[in-house]
Amino acid sequence: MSDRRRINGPAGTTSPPVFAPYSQTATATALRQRVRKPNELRKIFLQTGIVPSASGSAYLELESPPEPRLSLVPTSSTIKLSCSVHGPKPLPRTASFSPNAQLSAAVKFAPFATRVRQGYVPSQTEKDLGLHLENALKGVLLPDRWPKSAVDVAVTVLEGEDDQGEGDRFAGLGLFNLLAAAINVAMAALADAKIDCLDLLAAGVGAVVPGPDSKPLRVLDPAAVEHDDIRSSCVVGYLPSRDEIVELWSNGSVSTQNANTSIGFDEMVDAAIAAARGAQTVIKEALVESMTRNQMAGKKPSQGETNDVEMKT
Amino acid sequence: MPSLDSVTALNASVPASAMSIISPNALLHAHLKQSPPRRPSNRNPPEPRPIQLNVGSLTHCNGSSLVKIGATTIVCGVRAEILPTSEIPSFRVTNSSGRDRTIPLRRRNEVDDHEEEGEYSPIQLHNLVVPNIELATGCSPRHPTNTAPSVEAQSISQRMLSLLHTTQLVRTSDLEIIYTPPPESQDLELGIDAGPQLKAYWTLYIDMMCISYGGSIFDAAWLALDAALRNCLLPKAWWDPDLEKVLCSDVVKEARKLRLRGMPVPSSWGVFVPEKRLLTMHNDEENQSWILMDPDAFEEESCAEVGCITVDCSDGVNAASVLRIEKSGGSVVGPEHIAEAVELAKRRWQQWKTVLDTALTV
Repeated sequence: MSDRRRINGPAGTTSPPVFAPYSQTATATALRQRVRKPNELRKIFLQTGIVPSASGSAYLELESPPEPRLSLVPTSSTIKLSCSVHGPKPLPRTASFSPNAQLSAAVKFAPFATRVRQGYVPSQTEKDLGLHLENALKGVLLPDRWPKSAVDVAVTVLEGEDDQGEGDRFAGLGLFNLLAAAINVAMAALADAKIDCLDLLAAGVGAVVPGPDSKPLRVLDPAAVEHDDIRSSCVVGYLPSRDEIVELWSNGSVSTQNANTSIGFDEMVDAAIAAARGAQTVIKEALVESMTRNQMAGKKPSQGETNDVEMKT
Repeated sequence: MPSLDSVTALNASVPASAMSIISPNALLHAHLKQSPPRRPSNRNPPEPRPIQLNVGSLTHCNGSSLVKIGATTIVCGVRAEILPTSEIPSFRVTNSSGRDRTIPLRRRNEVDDHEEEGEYSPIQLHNLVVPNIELATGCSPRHPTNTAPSVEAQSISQRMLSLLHTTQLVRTSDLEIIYTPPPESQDLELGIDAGPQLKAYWTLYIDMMCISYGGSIFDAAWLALDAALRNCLLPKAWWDPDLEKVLCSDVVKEARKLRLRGMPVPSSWGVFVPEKRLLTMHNDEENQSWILMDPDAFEEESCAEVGCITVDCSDGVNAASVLRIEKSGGSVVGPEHIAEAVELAKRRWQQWKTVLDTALTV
């Protein structure tokens, strides 16, 4: 229980604040409904080069419309991720020989990233997300380019998207949105590190929710707080120019009866692929912008503004 | 002659950016030897890097801040949780709970400097303020992910906890949840006292994530902690005798800010001493050294003697309080260098106050 490497809290257990029930009931009725169209994505902010000492780095943020904060219970949630890539670097001397590059991906939650504070102990959710992220990135790397090398990808979750109601764990749709954002930010960091890849990998989430007249409706980029009931959802990692899926994870159930009127599994995957295509345009624009910025920075030394000092021997 | 030719050929093929890896001491010495002396990052030796600050970005935190100083980026989040006094082992009533509280609501900007923490502060006794920094986020190649906290992370966390206790930045009265029984429940005949009772404490978990490691991590982490505590909002909390637990109101207007004491600001510095080999080659004077304020990651590795001075100029620049002086390594620094570093630390305090006032008023 007590971690000797960290500063521990009180000896007794602390509990998160419990808000008065009458206020929370009034707040619950004000849950935001989805105002976007079914095929509209949330805005993505993506920036590369935030960690100068890393080979590649990126920062991703899902922007939500700013609303006046009347309640201390947050009703909207965004995703804020930071990713850094170190490598390709030599494997440690004790590692066995490998003709391929060894990719390792880790997702780490900040203690303040969830609605209820988690400690520093790695949870099963982090390991699940790390494995899925690693599986997606292995589909896009060319490992035989760097024998006897390692590539480390580290994603830090600064703010995660909660499922409504359940604040103590990530499950279902919030987890899928987080994985999609992690894949997108890791791909931007890999491209920032100039590591050769097959394609620009992008991830998207699709879901089936009850629409008007209680018929099933496909939505792209669903948010957990915007839908009361989500029949099924899935996240895909997609290579657009090759039309190839490298990662697929789904939950819930969709009916395959009455194939003419219902939405099946294939249609839900198509919705997630459409969301991934939209995310890929954002990644492409961010990489082009960072490349332009690097070229402009590279031109300055030739204009005589260099800060180098000639070494005299 | 062959050796000179090979050196010339080596200079022609080595790019300029590799000099910081091949010979960092020589590169730093070549820059500082200029007149006036410059740093490789194009700063003067006593010049700190600009500070960028954002507060209130994280939704789930009571208070949050993002501090960016050069290549160093720190994200800090403060989470407040409730520690009932029944959970504290061997809890005894202290003087804080006996204080007269006839005024139920305090004014937001109320400053009570005469309020003493006492010899046994509950903040230290029960660990009510818990700072931790995480460096294993891939912020630099030397800090791999998914590892236990390194010695550097543990050292920074302990230094921050010690500085929080020394400066008494957080007041105990801000963290107390007091219950005053209604007057009709008082029964003098049965001996039931109707005075205010201390039912619970707020516990502040202050967690810092280092996104990018660019030197002077302790300074950036402390500034992020300071800004996050000033951005912190504690909900209005009361004790419910029927449910026997603490309830909170979710109305933002009823929440209150922390009333922090003073504003300590640390300033790290390093002393660069060129290698004797360089002095011999250049026939320079023997005892030359430079004090570099706010060293970045490259300069930190080249300085064997480093230190940190924490000052507080809240009572005016002429009444500065030196709260802490830390130094490790080396043998160059004397009292006159410490006095010089204190003057530079005052300027750093003024810089941080300007940045903080701008961010908190937006």
